[in-house]
Amino acid sequence: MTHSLGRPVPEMEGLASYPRKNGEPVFEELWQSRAFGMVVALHQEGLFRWDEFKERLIAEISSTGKREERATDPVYYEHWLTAFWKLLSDKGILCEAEMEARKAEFESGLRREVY
Amino acid sequence: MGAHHEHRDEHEHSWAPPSEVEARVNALESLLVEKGLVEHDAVDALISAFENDVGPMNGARVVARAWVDPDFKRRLLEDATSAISELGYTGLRAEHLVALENTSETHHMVVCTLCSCYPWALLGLPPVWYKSPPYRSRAVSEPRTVLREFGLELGKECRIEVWDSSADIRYLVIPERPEGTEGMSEEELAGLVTRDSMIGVGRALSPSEARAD
Repeated sequence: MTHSLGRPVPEMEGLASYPRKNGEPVFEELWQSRAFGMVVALHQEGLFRWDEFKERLIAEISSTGKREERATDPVYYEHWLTAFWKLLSDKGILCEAEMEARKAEFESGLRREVY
Repeated sequence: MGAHHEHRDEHEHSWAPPSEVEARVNALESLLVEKGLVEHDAVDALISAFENDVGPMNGARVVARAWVDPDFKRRLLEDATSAISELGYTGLRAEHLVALENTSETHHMVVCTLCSCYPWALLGLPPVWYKSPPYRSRAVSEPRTVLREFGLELGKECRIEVWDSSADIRYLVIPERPEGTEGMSEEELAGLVTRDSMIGVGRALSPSEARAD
C-alpha cells in the first residue's frame, strides 16, 4: 500500500481560507481545480513563497468587500486566479501579451487542447 | 490519470466556446506546460489529493500499525518522521513529527497556542475548534475541564501533558487500543481511530461505537 501524498497543500486561514463543504474542500467547476492545482504545483516547484501568493489573494478578496461565509463561494477562485496572474506577471514568469494571445486562441476555437 | 484527456477528446467535434474564465485558465495552463513549469499529471495529483485524500485516515493507519506491531510502535516513538515514511507517508515538509503514547497513567493532548500548526499530512484539515482562541488558551490553563467538555473524563490518577505544536514540531497522539479488539485486522482497527483521539481530546472508538457510527 503506497500513499503518494506529495507535500501537503499549504494552509489558508481567515479571509483566504478555502471554500469547504462539511469541512472538505470543494471545487464547483473544473477550471477552479486547475487554477488551484497550478498555484500549488508552482509553489512546490519553488517558484514563489506561499506568502507571496497568499498576500495577493487576500488583497483581491479585500478589495471587493466582505467575503461571503458560505461553503460554495462563487468568487473565491476568481480572486484566486487574479492573484495568480498578478504573481506570475510580477515575477516575470508570463507576460500579458502572450497571455492575451493564448486566451484569444482558446476563445476563438483556434486552439482547443490545453496540452 | 487520463480522465481529463478523454473528456476533452470526446468534445473535439462538438466544440463550444469556453467562458472567459475558462479561456484564462486554459491559456495559463497551456503556457505553463509549454515552458516546462507545470506538469499536467502533477496538477491532477494535487487536486485529487486535496479533494480525496484529505482526512484523518492516514493518521489512523499509523496508529493501527502501532497497535499491532510493537516494533513499529517503538520506532514511531523514537523517530516518528522516519517511522511513518515506512508506510509511505513522506508528506511532511520541514516539520518534525513526534508521536505520543496515551496510557492509563498519562494522557497527552495537543494544541497550537500561537496559531494552528497541525500534522496536515496525517490528519487532514484542522477542525474549527482547534484554531479557536478559547481552545488554544484553555487547553493550557485548564486541560482537564476542556477534556471533560469533549466528553472525556479522566481519573485523578491520570496525568495530563499538553504539547504545544510549532512550525518545527507536530504531534500525533497514539490513543489507547480499545478493549475487545484482539481479533480485529489492522484495517478494522484503523476504523476505530478518530481524528479527536489523535489530537488527544478523545478516545478511540470501541467496536460497538464504531458499528453505531
